[in-house]
Amino acid sequence: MNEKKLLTGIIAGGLALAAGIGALTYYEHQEIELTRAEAADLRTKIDVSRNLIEGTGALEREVIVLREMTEFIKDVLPDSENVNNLVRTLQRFSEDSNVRIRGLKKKDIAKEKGAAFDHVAYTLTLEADSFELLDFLYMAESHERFIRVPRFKLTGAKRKQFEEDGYAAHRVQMDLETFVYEAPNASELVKIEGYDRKRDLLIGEINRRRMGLALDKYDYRGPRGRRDPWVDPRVPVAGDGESALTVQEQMDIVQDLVERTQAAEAQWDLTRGAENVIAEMVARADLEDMLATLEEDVRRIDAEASIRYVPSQRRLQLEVNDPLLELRRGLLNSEGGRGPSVEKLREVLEAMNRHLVAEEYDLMLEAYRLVDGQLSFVQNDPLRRPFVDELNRLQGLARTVMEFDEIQIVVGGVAILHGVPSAALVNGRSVGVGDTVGEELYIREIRTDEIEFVFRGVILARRF
Amino acid sequence: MIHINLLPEEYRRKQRTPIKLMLAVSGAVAVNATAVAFWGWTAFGIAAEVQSEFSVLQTEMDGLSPQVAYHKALEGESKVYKHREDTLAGITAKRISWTQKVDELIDVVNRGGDGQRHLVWLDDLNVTQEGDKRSKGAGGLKAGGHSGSDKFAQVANFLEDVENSPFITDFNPPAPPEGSESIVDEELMPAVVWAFPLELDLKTAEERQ
Repeated sequence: MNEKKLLTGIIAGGLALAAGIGALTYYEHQEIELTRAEAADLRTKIDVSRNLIEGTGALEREVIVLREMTEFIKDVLPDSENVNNLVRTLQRFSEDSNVRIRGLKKKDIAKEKGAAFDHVAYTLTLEADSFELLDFLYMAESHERFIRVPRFKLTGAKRKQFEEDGYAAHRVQMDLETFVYEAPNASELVKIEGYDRKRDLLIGEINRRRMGLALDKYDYRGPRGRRDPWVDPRVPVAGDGESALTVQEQMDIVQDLVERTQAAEAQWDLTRGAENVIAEMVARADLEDMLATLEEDVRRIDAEASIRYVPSQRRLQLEVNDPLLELRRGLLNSEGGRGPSVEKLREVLEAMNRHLVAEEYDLMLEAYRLVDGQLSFVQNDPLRRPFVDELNRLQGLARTVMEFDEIQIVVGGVAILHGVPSAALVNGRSVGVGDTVGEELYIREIRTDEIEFVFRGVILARRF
Repeated sequence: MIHINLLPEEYRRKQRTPIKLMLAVSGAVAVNATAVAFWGWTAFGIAAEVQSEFSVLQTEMDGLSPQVAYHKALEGESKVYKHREDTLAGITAKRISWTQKVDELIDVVNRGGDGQRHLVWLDDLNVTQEGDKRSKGAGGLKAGGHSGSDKFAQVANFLEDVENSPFITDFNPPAPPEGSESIVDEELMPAVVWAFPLELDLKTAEERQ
């Protein structure tokens, strides 16, 4: 090899080697730049992560609060099983509120994408009066599981319907909605160290958030003597074209009677549950006292026919007359062969006397009927005998007066002259004092404006 | 032509590397030695330093990763819960206690003093709320009313009582009174009845709050 070739070889080899080292260095540099970029990226990630985990404490607290809220939501919203029970719950509500469910239809609601809860809704068709409906609504809206009413339509009962049936059957169509919540499994939850301790420290916040979600429950206090706004309150005009009592007055009267009847029923329970004979006698005497005045008022109201507002009439029958009848029946049965007590006899006697003063002879007989048929048991009791005699006397008096009222007496005129016996034209016949006008009916005295008769030993006057 | 050097070894002219060759070799060696040195500095100096720094950062990141994963898991759980809570809050905010509203309406109807101020009764009641396809806006309440009096002013009295009662808190004020004489029945008291509409729009959930 000559020098020239060698030189060329050395130069070429040296350059090739230098190029190789240069390439190696270049790639090494590239690698370094890449690593630097990755390091920079990593540094950014570290910064981001540090910033992120700075908030872990707060987030952890938030999750604890939210988990505890889940327990609350679980209590408020039904799960699938509770939803299946919803129909049974509605059935119970309807029974407790006297609402008649006439139809129940599940509404098909498509599940919204990403919705937090499944939506369940029913459309109910009901029959009820306003207060039964309010009872039902109250039970639904204050139920432990969330139920809301987004729509309802009430069609008031026709006047003819409630006049015939005695109660208003409004037709109601109502949507009831709830939301289903399936609580997550505990295994799906992120494990938080010292959960219980941390939760205890957050009790205040948990309660505050719960309060924020809690539903305001309305305290419904029943009808409270109010009239049903979907019932026509107009009453038939009386004979003189005027109604003696307003609807509100009629409702108030019936309400008072209902309350007194309930008190009498409570007293009856007390009587039956008395621990000894003395206590029973005291309770029974009080009951007789209550019943006597109550029955007297009921008799007067019936006689006056002052309750003409149909819902009040119905209430009077169902909540006063029927329970009183039942109570009397119970009292009679409990008395067995003993007959009415002194207290009962006294109460009836006082009631009859009050009716006598008020000239309510038919009501005297009504009062007498309370003990009629039982008096034979006490005929031989020296303590109760005087009451029986007086009751019989008053009953005879009332009957005589009523029968006397039924006798037709037409007075054509009277002639009263000094020194001459007075005379009267009765039923077209001239009669004087002592004359008989009819069976057991004698003239006792003739005055200018009335004639006094003796009828079955009772002195009675007929004005003309 | 072939030259033959016949001189003994010690007398022969010393053979020397040609200067050009020398320079070429020296140059090649110098350039390559420098290149190798630079590469070595890059590979074992800078690259190692960068790699080391990267390793430190990676170690740090590895330390942070479980915490980040924990945070993200909490975040995911929180999002789901928050969505539920917000949804429930929305549902409860929109809910109206119709027990309360109907009870309050009954109160207003019963405050007429049996016709002294008004004697009103209703034919029906139609309630719709936001979310119902049939409701416009936030929903509302409609009823056909009757005033048992020949004085139409009693309808105004009733609407005034509605407006001044707690019942109205969730509704916008009612429209001015209007109506027509509908029934005259001499067998009932009162004989003259005016019919009027009762229409109330619900306030929005925000307004009710």
